[in-house]
Amino acid sequence: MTNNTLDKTTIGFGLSTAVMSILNALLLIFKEMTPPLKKAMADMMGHHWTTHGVVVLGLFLVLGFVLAGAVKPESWDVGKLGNTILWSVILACAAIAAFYLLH
Amino acid sequence: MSLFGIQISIMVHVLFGVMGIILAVALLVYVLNASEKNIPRIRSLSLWTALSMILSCVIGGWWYVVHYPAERAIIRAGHWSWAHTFFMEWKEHVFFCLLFLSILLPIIAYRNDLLVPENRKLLLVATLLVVLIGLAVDGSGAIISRGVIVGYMGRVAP
Repeated sequence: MTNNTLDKTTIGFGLSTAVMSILNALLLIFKEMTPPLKKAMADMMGHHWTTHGVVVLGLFLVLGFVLAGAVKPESWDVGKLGNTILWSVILACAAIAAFYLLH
Repeated sequence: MSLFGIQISIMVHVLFGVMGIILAVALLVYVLNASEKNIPRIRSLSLWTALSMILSCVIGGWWYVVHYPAERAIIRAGHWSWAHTFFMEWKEHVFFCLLFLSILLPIIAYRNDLLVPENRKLLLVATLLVVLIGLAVDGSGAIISRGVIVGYMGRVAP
């Protein structure tokens, strides 16, 4: 017998991928526009990129597990989740590119 | 670390990145031709893709923080300073999206019924994004390497 309902962990981490892709772009823009924040991030772990990576990857994992526990599988079908991931990632990549083109 | 070790480590970073892309392409092919017999292979390919991308990120991240500043100075002083100001900056932050998607692959593959076409569609979307972003990041790496060479060319033959 087949099961066409997505597993809760998949939905949680799928949504976390979408949310964190956007947050990653926003953190980057905010960090670059706010030199004291960039310096504080660099001071924290030796390099701003290391701190950035630890923050976004840590949040990705935490958010993934939290959303997996909180989400209702019936409200997220494959089409909706797939589109959310696809467009968030495209938007995030384009935002990062646009920021560095204009910055 | 010796100069040889530094150069080898950046090549290992690229090697795992390219391997991750190749594994993701193989995964794409298997998902498009999914059958009950293929499911174990789809699952193991998703896992190896994720591991390869994670290893590439860890090695590349270490190299970027420890050894890249010397190359950055050469690139920025040369005619291709945009190899750093656009391509490296873009690559180093877009790589996180690639990591999220790579980690998502085995979660989709192991925790869902892949005999359902709709579930496979989600795996296809995530895998396709891994391949496309992987190729873009790899291409950016090539441009950054050329940026170093152009920087050196400016020094020896202005």
